[in-house]
Amino acid sequence: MKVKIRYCGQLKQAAGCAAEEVDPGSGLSAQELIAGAAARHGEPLTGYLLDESGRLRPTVLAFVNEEQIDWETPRPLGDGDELVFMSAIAGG
Amino acid sequence: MIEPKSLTDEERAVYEWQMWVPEFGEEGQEKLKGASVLISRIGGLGGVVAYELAAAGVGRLVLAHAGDVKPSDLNRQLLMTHDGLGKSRVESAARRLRELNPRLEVEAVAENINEGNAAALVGSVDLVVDCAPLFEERFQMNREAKSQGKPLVECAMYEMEAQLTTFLPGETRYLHELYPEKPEWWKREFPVFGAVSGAVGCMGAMEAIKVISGIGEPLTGELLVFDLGEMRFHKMKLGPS
Repeated sequence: MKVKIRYCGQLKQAAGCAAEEVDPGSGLSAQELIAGAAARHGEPLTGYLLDESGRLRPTVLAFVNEEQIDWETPRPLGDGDELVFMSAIAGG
Repeated sequence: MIEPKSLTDEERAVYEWQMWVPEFGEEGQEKLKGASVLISRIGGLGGVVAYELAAAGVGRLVLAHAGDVKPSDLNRQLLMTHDGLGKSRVESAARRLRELNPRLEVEAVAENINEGNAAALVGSVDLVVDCAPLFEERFQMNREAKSQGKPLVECAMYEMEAQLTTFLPGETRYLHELYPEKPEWWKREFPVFGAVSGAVGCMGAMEAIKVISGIGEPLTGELLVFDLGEMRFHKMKLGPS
């Protein structure tokens, strides 16, 4: 099973890449994949994505196939799904 | 509540091409003329929003931005000029907008949005366009807009990426609900091209025009995200809570 992860805003630099393709194995939820991506990349991405309790930070939005996911509701992933992380940005 | 205003012959001549847009017409133009919009700040993003709304015939703009023009403004702040270095940003903006549209009513406020002025500034307009670089200002504008039942167009950018959405009272969350916390890593100065701020600024202006005139489909419940580095555009569906 292949899932694409895309990083937007400052998360791109934190991850060291704009996108990556992973094979998480079947049955994994988006929430578990997020935790896995943070663990795989380590800091600084972990600090951007997750708070001390391991929950998605309120300053990051996560989308699966262009629909925002709710951290409290496990979102199963399927082959070909795309997971996008977006950090809050502003004007200027 | 927007009170449409009837057009003069001069205005019909100026706005002829946009009045040909289906479903817009003279009725839409009258709504723009009767509308007032707050834009803060009026730098790379807000300056282009203001310019396009002035060009489109919005009747009144309230511009809120403290400080003077700096050299680093000039890669993207299209209402500023080299001759204006060291002089008031809002005054430069007001002058440039009036050169384009002498019928425009401009209120230039040499302040950034803060707790002391947000209620009055938001209260004086029909719609807000948030172009501010600091989350404290953005949250303040959003709280007031929600509290007062005003629509708000939300524009943001970073490097070659941008985000755009429209908040409507009673229909969508506002920014402080979408992002309940300020990102600690965000800095006021960040990498960006003027073409990126210009692109999302034009789109933000079009969102404002759609909300005021009732044409098209504003980005309510959706976040437009684009990356001009890859020319990638996505409309992301925002969750209800």
